[in-house]
Amino acid sequence: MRVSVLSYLSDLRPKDLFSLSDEQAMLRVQKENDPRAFSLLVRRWQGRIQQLCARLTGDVHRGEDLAQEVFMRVFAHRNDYRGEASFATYLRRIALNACYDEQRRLKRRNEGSLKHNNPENTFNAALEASTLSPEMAAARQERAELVRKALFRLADQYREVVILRHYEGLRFREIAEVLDVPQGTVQSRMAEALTQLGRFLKPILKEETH
Amino acid sequence: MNHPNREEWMAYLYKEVGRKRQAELKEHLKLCSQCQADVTAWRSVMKELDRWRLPERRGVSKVRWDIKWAVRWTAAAVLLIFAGYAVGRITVAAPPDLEQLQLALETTLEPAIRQNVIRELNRDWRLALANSHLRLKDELSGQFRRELNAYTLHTLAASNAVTNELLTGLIEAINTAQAQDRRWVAAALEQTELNRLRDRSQFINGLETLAAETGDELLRTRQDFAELLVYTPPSAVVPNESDN
Repeated sequence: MRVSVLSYLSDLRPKDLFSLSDEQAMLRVQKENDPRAFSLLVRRWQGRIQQLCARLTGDVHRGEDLAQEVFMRVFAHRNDYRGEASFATYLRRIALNACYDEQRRLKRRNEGSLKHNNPENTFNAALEASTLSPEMAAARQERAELVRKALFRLADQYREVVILRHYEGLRFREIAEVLDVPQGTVQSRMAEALTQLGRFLKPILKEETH
Repeated sequence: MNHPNREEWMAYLYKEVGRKRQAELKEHLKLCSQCQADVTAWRSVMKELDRWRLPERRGVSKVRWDIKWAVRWTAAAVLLIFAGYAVGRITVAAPPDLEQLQLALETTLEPAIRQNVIRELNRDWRLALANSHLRLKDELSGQFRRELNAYTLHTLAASNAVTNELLTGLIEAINTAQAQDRRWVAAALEQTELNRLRDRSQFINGLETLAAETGDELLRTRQDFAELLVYTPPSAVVPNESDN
């Protein structure tokens, strides 16, 4: 089947399309199957969702794959979006579910837990190497790996709160909406997560204070 | 001393409390060693968390920003060159050095334009590919639905044919059974009729025999009555006659 690319290029940049809010764009996807509105949403959110999935799985490459799956789910279930929550909340919920589905799938297949990912995929070693001496880059990478491992020792309910608040920068109220729990519960989980992480990271924290 | 709870400290650490409350909590920290220890521990964990970094992604907005600036710089360069050209035309009597102008244009504009075009094309192609992916997916879904419908119709038709065949067989079996039943009923009725005729004939014979026997009996009875009427008892004989 041949799809004419030129037909898309001809109407790529209607100004009104870029002024759409996420919710309006989603509504267009829902009602009119508008591919341009959908690609607008993808372009706006792809990076953030990739990052979220990468944090949740601890693997950058898997995060990229999962982000694609998240958008496929959004499109496949476009009629399920009721507009009760913001599109961002809806999208993050789907991302969390996709990550947990992936986690379960991997456990079933005995391909190893997400807690034991390839460290090369976990953060940008090349980025470190480009600005630091090899020794310092290695030390930093090792330390980052310890943090990642400590995070993955947390229960899912604590880890997701840390990732959403600390790394994604969502406010506690927004996290409560995504997880559909009271805000107080989110803050309590965050405190518990930080306390547990303090215990897990005690050796390196101690080392730093000395 | 009333200690703020952990939830409140989280809001404090992530700067989600009002300014006034923030100041109060800060004041509390100065006075309370227990809360100070907790907050310090949490802060050091937060600092440690920052060590786990993901590769920075060159976001779409950044690319768009770059394109915007590239376009602006290109426009500025073009304006500058044309302004210089115009000034040169006005102020210098000598004819413009076209080769030099061309060279200047090539060296100044070409790389910027080329880069700009490449970026634009890259972005457009990516978008077009994304759209193509969506349309392809839609078309494949449509095709799948159509084929599923066709398959369902085909299956239904085949199922109907089999059902009809089975129904025809059933009807034939019912008809055969009914014909058999009718034959049996007809045979039974015929047998009954034969029995009836035989019984009737026997009955008639019986009646005739009875009638004949009754007639004989009546005749004998009548003779008996006649004999009885003419009967004279022995005492009624005149004794003198014999004597005479």
